[in-house]
Formats: sequence, structure tokens, C-alpha cells
Amino acid sequence: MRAENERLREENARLHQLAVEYAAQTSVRPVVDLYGGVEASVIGFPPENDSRSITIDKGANAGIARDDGVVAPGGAVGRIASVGPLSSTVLLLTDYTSRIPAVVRRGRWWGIARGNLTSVRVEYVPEDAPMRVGDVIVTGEGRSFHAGVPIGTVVSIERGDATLYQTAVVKPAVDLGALDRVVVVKR
Amino acid sequence: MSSSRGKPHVAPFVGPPWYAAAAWLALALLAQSTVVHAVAIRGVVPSLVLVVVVWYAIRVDAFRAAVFGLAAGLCEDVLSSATGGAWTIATTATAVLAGSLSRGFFADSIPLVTTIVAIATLVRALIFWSVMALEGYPRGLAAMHFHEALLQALLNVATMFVAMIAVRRLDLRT
Repeated sequence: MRAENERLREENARLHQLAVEYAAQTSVRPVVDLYGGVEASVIGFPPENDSRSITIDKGANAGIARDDGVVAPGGAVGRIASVGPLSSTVLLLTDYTSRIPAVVRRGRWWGIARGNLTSVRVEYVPEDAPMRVGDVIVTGEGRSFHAGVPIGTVVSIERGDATLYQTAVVKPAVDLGALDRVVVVKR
Repeated sequence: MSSSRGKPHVAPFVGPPWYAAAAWLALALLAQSTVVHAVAIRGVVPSLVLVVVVWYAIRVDAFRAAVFGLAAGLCEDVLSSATGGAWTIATTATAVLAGSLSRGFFADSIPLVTTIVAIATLVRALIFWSVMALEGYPRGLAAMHFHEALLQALLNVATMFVAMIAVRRLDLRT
């Protein structure tokens, strides 16, 4: 009875592991269907997290090139910063050196999404654009992405007295600290 | 007897064997680039690499500390995406500093070692971001980097504290 119980417990653990792996694999399938591209797994992080980047297990041998866009089920993740034969480095949206064209979906107001380590700031949005907290920010046509890939949601807006622009602080649509599988899309 | 006349007596630095230190460094680097990311607090991770470097540097002479810091920094630069040697410079300098600070102290004193770890973390961050700025990294985040360095110092102190307590417990059992 005890041996049987032990065997069932082991089998349950194995099935649970398989279910988790299946969920991880299938969660990016709709993204692949939507955007096309190459599925990849996250295999590493910068040791000290000095740059907000990840390493994925696909490289030039899989057709990946520098500046290709990277997406996950929730939206945009970043762009390919460097490529090796078997792996690539993805610069996340939150990295301070990351810049991608962005659009406020509700009104098509343009801006530049810049990483701010813990969040994304959409800068150079015209001062007269009636942007609101809760607006969704998507990618504009650019070097890495087609238009319309979600970047995140506006959580606060900074407006200066003597400036022609306003800045939105955006919470990324994807939890960039818990990435497991991503899709690299060709522009 | 005559050969040592006129020379001050200096106790040799024995320290841990290099292969043990190398093994700990390899483990720290592996953990640092894979699982440690899961315990990040506000994007800040404890630096197991720095903890190992300080642990080794305070037990050996300055030359060996510098060589170990150099090796650790080189590995971090290889694993990072675009640091351009900044970790090599910062970690080597920090290893030499940690080794110098610890002269005359006991390497198993928890208050002293954790203080050295905290100072080493802040100094290394200062050197690293200074080198990055010289290499062209965009400026304007000094306050944020300082806050991150403070948080990392706290995490590193906690890591070193736990490690030293664990070592003492193991010693008591044996």
C-alpha cells in the first residue's frame, strides 16, 4: 500500500511537470501564429543585472539577426542586440539604452519608448494630446516591430509647464522579470 | 637564521587553495547568470561573485587577490552583453581594496567581513558605472544606480552573513 502510494505520488509529480512544460510551450503558439517568427527559450541573464537583457537559445543558425523584434504572449519584450551562432542577447524594453517608436493606441499620438530600468517612459508625446492613465501604448512602425504590438499601459503622466511635450510612465504589458519562452519576429 | 636577519617577519598568507576558490567562483557565476535572477528585488540581485571574491581576497596576499578579481571580472564581462571590460576593472580594484582593508583583521569576524562586503559593493558599483560612463553609457541615472548599489550592498551583506553562519555550524559539527 505504501509502495503504491509512493508510486502514485511520483507519477503525479511527473505529470504535473509535463503539464507545466506543455503550458509553457503552448503559451507562445498563438504568438507564433499571429506574428510568425522563431520560438526561443530564455537561458540566461546578465550576472549582475547591470543591463536589462536576457540570453535566448536561438541565434544566427536559426535565422535570427540583429534588431529583430522579440515578443511574448502579452506583447513586446525587446529587440535582438547581439547574435551568436547558437544564442542571442535580447535588450529588454526596460533597459536604459532601449529606444523604440511608440503610439498611444486610442489617439495615434506618437512618442519614443525609452527604458528606465524599472519601467518604460514614453517621451515626446505632443503636449496637446489628451493622453490618460490607463491608455494602452503599442509599437509604431520601426526597425524592429510592425505597428500595433502592445508595449504596456500608462500608469502616470508627467507634464511640465514650459515644454512642448509630455511623458507617460508605462507599466510593461509583459512581466519582463519572469520570461520563459519568447518569439523572435522578423521585421 | 642568518638569511632572515634584517628582514621583518611576515606571516605567510596561506588562504584557501586556488582550485577551491575557482570552483566557488564557477558555481557563483553559474548561479548568478541563471537562478539568482529569480530572487531579484526591484531589479537588484545579490552578487555571489563579489561575495566569493571578498571571501578569497581577505585570506590571501594582494597579488593573488588581484588575479582572482581579474578572473572573476573577466568572466562577468564575458557573460554580460555590453560592459566592455568595466566588470574586470571594477572587480580587480575591489579585490585589491578588500585585501588591503582586511590586513590586521581576522577573516572570520562577521562584523568586519560584512562591513568590508558592504564597502566593496559600493566601491565596485562606483568604479563600474564610472567606467561605463567613460565608455559612452548614457548618463543621468546616478541616483538610481546609487539606490541599487545600496540595496545590493544589503543583499550581499545578508548573503555573506548567512554563508559565514553556515560555515561555523558545519565546523561545529565536524
